[in-house]
Amino acid sequence: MGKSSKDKRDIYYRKAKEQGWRARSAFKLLQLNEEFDLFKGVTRVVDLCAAPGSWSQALSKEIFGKPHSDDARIVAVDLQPMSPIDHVTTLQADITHPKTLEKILEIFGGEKADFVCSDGAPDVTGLHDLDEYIQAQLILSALQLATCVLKVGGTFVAKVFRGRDIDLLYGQLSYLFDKVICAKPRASRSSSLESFIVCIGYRPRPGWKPELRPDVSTEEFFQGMGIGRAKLNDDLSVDDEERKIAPFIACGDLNGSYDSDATYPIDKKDASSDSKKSLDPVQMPTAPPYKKALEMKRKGELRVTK
Amino acid sequence: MTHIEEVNHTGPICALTALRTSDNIVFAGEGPNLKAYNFEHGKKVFQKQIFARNKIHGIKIYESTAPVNIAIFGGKSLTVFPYEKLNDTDYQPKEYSVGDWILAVEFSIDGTKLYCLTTHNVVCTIDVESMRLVATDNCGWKSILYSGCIRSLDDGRVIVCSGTVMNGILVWRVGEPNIKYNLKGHEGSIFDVEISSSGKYLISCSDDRSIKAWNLANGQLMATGWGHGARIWGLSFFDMTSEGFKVFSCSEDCTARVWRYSKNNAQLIQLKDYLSHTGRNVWSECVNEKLKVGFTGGADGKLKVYDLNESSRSGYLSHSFTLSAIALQSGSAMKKGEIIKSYYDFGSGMLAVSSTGKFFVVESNFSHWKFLFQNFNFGNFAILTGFQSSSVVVAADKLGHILVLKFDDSAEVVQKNEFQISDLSRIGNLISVQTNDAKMLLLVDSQNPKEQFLFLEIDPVSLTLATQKSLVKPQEKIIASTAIIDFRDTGFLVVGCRYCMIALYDLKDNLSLCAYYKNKVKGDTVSHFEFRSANAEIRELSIYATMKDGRYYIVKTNKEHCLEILADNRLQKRFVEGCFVDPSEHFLLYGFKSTYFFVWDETRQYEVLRVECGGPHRQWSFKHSYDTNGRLRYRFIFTRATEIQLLQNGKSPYVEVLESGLHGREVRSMAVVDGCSKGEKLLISGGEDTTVKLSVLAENGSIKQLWTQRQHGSGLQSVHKVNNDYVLSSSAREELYLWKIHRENGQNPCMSLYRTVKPLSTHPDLRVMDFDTIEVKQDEIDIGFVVAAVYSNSQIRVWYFNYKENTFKILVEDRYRSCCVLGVHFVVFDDKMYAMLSSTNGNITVYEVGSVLQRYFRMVGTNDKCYLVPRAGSSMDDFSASNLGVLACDQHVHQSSIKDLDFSYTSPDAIQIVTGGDDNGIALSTLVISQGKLSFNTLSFIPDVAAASTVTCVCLVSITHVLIASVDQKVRLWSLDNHTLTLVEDGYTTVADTGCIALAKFISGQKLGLIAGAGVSSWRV
Repeated sequence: MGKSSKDKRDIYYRKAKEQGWRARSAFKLLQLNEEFDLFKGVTRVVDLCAAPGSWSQALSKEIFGKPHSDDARIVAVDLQPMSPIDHVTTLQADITHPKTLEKILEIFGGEKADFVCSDGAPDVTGLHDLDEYIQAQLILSALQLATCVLKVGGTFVAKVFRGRDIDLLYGQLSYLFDKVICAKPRASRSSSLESFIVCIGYRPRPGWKPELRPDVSTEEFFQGMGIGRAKLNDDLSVDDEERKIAPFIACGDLNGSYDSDATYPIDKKDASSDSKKSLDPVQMPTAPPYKKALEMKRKGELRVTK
Repeated sequence: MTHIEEVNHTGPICALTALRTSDNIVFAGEGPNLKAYNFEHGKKVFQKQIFARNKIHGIKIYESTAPVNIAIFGGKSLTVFPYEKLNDTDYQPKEYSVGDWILAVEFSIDGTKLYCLTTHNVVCTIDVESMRLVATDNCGWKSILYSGCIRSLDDGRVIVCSGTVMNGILVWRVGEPNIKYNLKGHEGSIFDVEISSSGKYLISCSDDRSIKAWNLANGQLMATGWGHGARIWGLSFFDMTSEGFKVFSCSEDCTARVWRYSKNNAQLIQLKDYLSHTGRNVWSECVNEKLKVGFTGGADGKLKVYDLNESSRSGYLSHSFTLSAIALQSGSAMKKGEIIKSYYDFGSGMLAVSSTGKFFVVESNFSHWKFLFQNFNFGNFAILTGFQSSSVVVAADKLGHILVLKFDDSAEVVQKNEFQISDLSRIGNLISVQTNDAKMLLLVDSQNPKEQFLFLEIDPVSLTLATQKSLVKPQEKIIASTAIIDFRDTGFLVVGCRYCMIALYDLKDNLSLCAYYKNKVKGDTVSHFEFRSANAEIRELSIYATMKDGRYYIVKTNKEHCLEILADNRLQKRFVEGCFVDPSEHFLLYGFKSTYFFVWDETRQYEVLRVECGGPHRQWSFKHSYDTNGRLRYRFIFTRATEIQLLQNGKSPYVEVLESGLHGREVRSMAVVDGCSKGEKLLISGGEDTTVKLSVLAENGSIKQLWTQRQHGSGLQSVHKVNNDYVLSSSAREELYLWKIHRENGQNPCMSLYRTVKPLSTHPDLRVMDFDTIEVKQDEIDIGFVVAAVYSNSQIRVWYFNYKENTFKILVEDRYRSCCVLGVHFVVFDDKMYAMLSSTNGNITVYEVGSVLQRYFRMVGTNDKCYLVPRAGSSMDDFSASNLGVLACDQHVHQSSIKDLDFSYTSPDAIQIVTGGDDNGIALSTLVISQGKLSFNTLSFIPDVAAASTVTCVCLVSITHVLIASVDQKVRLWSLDNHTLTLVEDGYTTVADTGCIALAKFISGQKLGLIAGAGVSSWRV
């Protein structure tokens, strides 16, 4: 979250800065929790694609605020570095790598997780079909790890784009969980395709033992699991994949919580002396890959030279 | 029986392929459709839907001496079929799958096998004959990829380059399960990799916005090229020689670029930069290596052709003359400090004058400078102009010496005359008046702004001054910049001046000043006029006018001398010097932007020409014409430092645009009004790209864009018609704009910004989400309308707009709750009027508004026939803002946002409403009035399962059927019979981010449902 003129536009963006959340997405998890009571009795949590860490912040606050939480463990994993969060062990690691799984289980003292979540999204290209596919792959990577660490009955929550093949994912998840729900928190704009799958009651596939290996792709990992994914057939025939529509639940009090699509005036008390003052971001964004290109542009070095 | 069927689609082009063995064909993948175009004459020669759902992302053709097989892939889908089957209209290729997303395919050298690289870095080898899987290979690393390339080499090796999501490019070979190189150097995801046909080189691009060239013999980085302003999506090699190669690239920044790598300096140098697409993203590119022709396909649906071998075309010229070269060629030594002050391009050559009054002619096809004579009068001050059609050049000095020279086709002086004009103290400007007659007319302006204009006519035979006349200036201190005269039809002389002043003189009344227009058009200096149309009978003249500051207009004047604006627009950050219309009626503008000169096709939205010249402040000349094929020929001459440079294009064998597309980003709202002829409609569309476009919609569903309005400052929210002549559009920053559509016989329709609603706050940050209008008439004539608009802060405002007074008067300002209101509709039952709102809280809310409006208006008619009539004696000055009437209904229908709704009257006392929600649900409800009380009932609700995703498009196509589209790209027809929503038909659209719908009803009875998002698809209903 940087400093920008969008401050005024999105109430959650501003509230996140005020309340010290690293991103406004913290509100999304909190609203999901309000609806589904996700953190009840939860002591082992894996937060995947966690950077900058707002979900871990929310998890830390919600879980460690409760009695009997001394034993709780939260592990936040991301390829990007993350600044420390109270009660959270951060791992800079690849979620598809077996070593990452080993480390998580080590931190959990061999116990399995109650709750696995992922708020990850790829850098979108704008090609909707590709972006939705990559997002689905990201969810599968998270799910792959989840099937290795989740205890029976555990919960899995992940960000999805409700695009044209979302019903395929619902179909496949319903093989692994008692309940699969598509939830849209009020903190997520209705103009965005984003929503969250809340998968409750993990049911491992009978007779199938998950095993992470670097030479096995996510696609291959789920082959043979019998969750209805298309396979590579010798005659290249197109598998008819099962499509299922998950029930939809809007979360967050319609009248009590803020509407992320609405424009709110800046509270006078927040504005203090200078009404146009924009709050500093809680955590500065990491340097983008195109940082050098931006610098060259500033210096006028990107023009056609003759 | 109602039935739906897709008849046309325009949208992102994600794949392009040129043939090696056939000269003039390029293949494009637009959605699931394969299209082929002949780029010599520009016609589409083939079209077929290849896949059921998936978009085509790649096309590969196996060619020996002729094309043999064609492989097409997209998503997880794949097909391979004989090339000759393209001629078989009944042939439907079979859809195959390799179970994973395909990134690249390649045929084996003998064409019997096809290799497919998947996003998990696995190569599937397929036997083409049997279409069976032969083998799968990997390099031991199956991480996710964004890009890849496979190359079959003559020696049998099959190289694979895999672009990972984190910095690295993996180089490996099919049949060898290890990584040869992991090429490091890029940052971020690798978006394209391309292996040269010999397998020697690799080029790559990534999120870091650079292009890298690698040597595959040793895995070494050879060079890095910088230049693109955003992510780069595609790369191709061409012009491979022993010295190096060239690269063609396309990017998110809407440009395509050409780069050169030469072995001797080991650099990737940017040679060319083409701005060809609008909005965002050029998705695909390819090069016909043999012909050196490039192609790009954009998110805007445009397919653009590039002649990458321009300098070899017949007629191409590129010259550069230093002062010493001029002195050497002409044999006339230059004095210290002497420069070329002015020049005029008369077609077969150029006349130039130096700062010591030396006259030169540039002859022999603009290659040789010849000294003509020296006239010291023209030393310190000389203006050159002329008459293109007759190769006559006129020079004027400060004191009114006029020199007239006539040239022949070999740039020899064939006639010369001199005369003196004495009515002006000092000559300020000499303007050649554009005319549609063979006459040679000049407008002379003085350096003393108090003096009148002089209007001169030169005798075409003797080159003497035929007539001279003083023209009255409309006011003092007017400085003329351009002039045009319509001899043929109306007899109007129009003079454009500085400070956007336009003066009109009447030839039929002895060139008297008949009108002048100050601040009617905005901007600074009028830079150019161009004829558009004229009507002698009613003395109506319509012309294009360009302003230096980047604005342009179409203006019309008539015998009453009223100046009407038919179109107005602005090119951002550009200086516009002139405009012209090509033989196919495309409108082009030229001028300067930052350091370069441009020619911009405003109709089709791309830069035709870009020349780095240093910027606008210099001597320059631009001349254009059209060849027999209707293709543009131009010559641009400019001075840089003291050097004179000339660039002339050659005869291009290719068209420039194969598809002109539409919006460069998602379409957000559309309105349909009547067209100029019975068989067509006009589509007004608003996009995320902040533009409002006016296009012609044909009965077959095809869309041709005419005008792109750029006045909005943010992505559009809503576009609706008021009536056939007026359209409103809304966006963020409280922007609510009223447009007028102009239709004239024989002319393309155009639109002008008629009025904007002034924001109420000083720092407008509200989005105007939606609005609805109801017309106001007096004596059966439209005099205005009432508009209700809803805002992102839950506000609702109602205004009255009167065409004559041209102002918006606020009538209502009120607030619903704190949530964002997404939609508003007027509903009228008998003499009661309501505003029906739909919001992000999932509610349908109905407020009574009639009681407020009835203070000023009388209601006539009811239901959808209702209009308002101002009450006698009520004056606009009486209007003041009040609150909405009573809240009549606030019913929760959807769990969250109601994304779209449509309604129709089922009886004088009832409407049926169909709503679509973010909750994937659709609902059929009724709103009924009985004894003055409203009741709202939801009769049929299809929760979640109505669609797999947000329902964004709801359109009642008849009283009994509703067309629904959702973000899962489903298009469904539902029946409303028995007050129950019943699914009738199920379709799929390739339009992603499906966001809006509009219905076009043609006179023939044909109905088209337009479904838009990332592209527009037309469905026959």
